[in-house]
Amino acid sequence: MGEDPAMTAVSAAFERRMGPAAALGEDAERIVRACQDMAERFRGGGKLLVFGTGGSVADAQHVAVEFAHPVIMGKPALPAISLTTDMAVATGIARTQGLDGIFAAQLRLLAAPCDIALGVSADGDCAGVRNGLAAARALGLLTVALTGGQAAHEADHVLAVRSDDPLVVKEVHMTIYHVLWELVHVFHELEAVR
Amino acid sequence: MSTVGESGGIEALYPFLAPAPVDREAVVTDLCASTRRKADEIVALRRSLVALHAERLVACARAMAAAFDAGGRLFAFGNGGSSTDAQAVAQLFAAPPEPAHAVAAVGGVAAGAPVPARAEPVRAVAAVPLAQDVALLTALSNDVGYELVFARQLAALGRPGDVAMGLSTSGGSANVLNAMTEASRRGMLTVGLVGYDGGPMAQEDRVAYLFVVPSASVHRIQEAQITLCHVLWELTQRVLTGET
Repeated sequence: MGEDPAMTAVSAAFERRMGPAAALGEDAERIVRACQDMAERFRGGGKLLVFGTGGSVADAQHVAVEFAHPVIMGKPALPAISLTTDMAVATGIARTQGLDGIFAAQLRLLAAPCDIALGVSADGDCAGVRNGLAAARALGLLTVALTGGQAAHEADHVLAVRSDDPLVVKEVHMTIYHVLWELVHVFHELEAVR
Repeated sequence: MSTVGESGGIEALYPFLAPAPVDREAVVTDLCASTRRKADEIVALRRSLVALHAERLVACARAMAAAFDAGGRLFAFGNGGSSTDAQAVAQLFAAPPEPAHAVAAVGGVAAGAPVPARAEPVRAVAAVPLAQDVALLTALSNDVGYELVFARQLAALGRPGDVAMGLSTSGGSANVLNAMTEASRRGMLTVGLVGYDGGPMAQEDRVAYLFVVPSASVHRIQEAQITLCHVLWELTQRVLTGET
């Protein structure tokens, strides 16, 4: 009797995630530079606007709560809003401008030029996120894209996970935005004493 | 001369920030090293979960698949970041990635030999996150108490044979613990994901399938928990589509 194929599947499933997760280390400087720019925006009174679709909706909200309600006592709360929580607004916009316009339209209403736009797309190919980032760039925001797969997003900082599996991409996104939060605070405190 | 860390003791985490002239590029170099360490940490943590939880994952996936085959639904819940992770899990079960994505290639440059992608086809399952309905959540919080926001929803929505999945990094969130108790009382299958040493959720056989992520970092715990959820989904799909 051989090994239970289900047990083999567990090992294989975990193994598939190791490469892309470890590859994040190679993107360390990109991530750190993004944090530096984000901290500067927060220092200048900017807020963070986060958006994504599908599974990335949850990540957008996760990012917003990390910044607005820090998990470590004593860290300042930084202004962050997810554009994915209000179905009334999203479906209202979608009726007239289409689903792909829900973030761009919200950004045009809510964003100031000193803000940060963070678009999250686990499959790297989301028109709504692309349009949101384009609108943010046009408004002068700092733009950060968390992506994966093959698609290229237009943003000041593109942090792309090296996998085509949206579930694996999502897992690495989570590590990236946890690091973003932590390092933004490091730079934020450095800026305080400049 | 600049000093930093007057709030929050950041210098304890990053000693190079202690009173000294701030050399920004040195800071960048150190933060890059710290980021690489975090990548190594999460890889090692995930790797450790195979030995810890592989058998439990397989058994839990079989139990969940049996529940879904019999008409059971998934209810997922947690607080804060764990509420969004619970939402993501429910979304994955209810609206799985398209088959084109399911046959994913491994693109990691440091991955070594490619590993076969997961199987298809996929089957959608009824799944509801319990922290997404703000009218219900605020009504229950206001009228009954926040510690009962999930238990009361399970009492209203849950049936024997449903699956209750609670996420908590501490294992001590009162509303998640109360929901687990309510779910067990109603004959639901209970699945818990926690961190640290499992906390109160690990006591008294409170949940049928408990996955403890042995880490003291809330962030690494959440990152490992979402992997456990993804693997659990994949294994459940294998059973549902007749592969195992």
